[in-house]
Amino acid sequence: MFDQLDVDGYFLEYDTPRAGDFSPLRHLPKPRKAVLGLVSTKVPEIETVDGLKRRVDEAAKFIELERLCRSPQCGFASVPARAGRGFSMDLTERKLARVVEVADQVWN
Amino acid sequence: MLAGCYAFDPVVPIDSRWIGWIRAAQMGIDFAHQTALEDSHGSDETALPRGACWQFAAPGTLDGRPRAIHQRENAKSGAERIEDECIREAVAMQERVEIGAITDGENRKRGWREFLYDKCDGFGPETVERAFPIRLHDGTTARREPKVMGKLKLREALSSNDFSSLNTMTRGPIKANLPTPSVAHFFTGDAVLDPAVYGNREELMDDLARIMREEIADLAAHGCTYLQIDEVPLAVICDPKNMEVVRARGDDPDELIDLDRPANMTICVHLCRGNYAQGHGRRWLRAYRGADVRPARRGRLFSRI
Repeated sequence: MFDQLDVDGYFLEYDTPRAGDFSPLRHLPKPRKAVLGLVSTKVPEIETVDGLKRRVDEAAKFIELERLCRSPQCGFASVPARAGRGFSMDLTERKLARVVEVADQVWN
Repeated sequence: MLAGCYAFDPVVPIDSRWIGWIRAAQMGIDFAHQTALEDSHGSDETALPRGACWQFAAPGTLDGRPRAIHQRENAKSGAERIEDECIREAVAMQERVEIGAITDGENRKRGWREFLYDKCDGFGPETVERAFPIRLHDGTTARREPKVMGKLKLREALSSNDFSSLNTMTRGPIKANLPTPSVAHFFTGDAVLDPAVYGNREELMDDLARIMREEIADLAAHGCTYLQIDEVPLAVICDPKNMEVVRARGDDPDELIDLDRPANMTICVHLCRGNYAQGHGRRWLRAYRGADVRPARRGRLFSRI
């Protein structure tokens, strides 16, 4: 499937076990990039830096680190029933800041 | 362009909308028209969250409610000011965290795909039931989609005007978003079609694909170099249970997405599995491998942009 779309990158949701493991990333044809949505936009807890870096390391077993990017998992507006209502602006900012923090540590 | 950088999905800062609402009240904007509008079709399935400032931005409505552009004209300048305020706040936040790709927080949109219905003639006013109800951030559930009752024609640019507006508010790289054409069909199936308008879904997808191609070209002409296309059906369909839902209505979960795009534009697809976690326990990306997802039927069900 990954090679059928004429796009530059894929935003992939990898925030929960429901997403499965990273092994399909080995099928991602160059030069396409995978944007890992590890920071959940549905669960209010802020993910830890170490936990997120471990997840990036796991993904890097299947695809070059240079072809990986980071992002939140999804939009901040839509929420599943179990999560109640949407995030506050403050929580959104803290989630985004965590994305940047980990990305800085991994790629700089 | 993306390597080692940050990219992110559309952010919709809920709080800023409420703040905008409060500020609007402080600015003395008359909400009488809007309140009357809400009261006139008070439904627990309304797609418009009450009290959110971007209600003003939505030029059309769902669930068979009348389009109310004229009712909103009086508040238009106020609405735009509120949107601008919310967007400046969203931009400031994104610049503060140095996220590296700026959006307007989707503050000018009713939703990630609803703005297609709002800006394009041909959708509604009749609606059809969704096979996949979706829960909205305000706690309501959207159960219906607008039926395609006329030939689709954009009343205004889908995204390029929003891009240009945002371009005046930030120096950062801007990410634009568009939904795939498939969103106008997948959630309901062929029930969305009026045979007198589009004889089959291929005709509908052809028309929507043309509209999206023109919009992408328009975005590029406005200077947009980064576009995310939100493709929900493709990820949703990888869940075997969801495959059964579409098979039950007589569809075949094969797919293809084709993209014609400007050479200098970075395009990403967000394979969004939707908020359908409950009852669908399969791991979606793992499911790809066993799903026999092949481009056997070009654009039959999914998008061709």
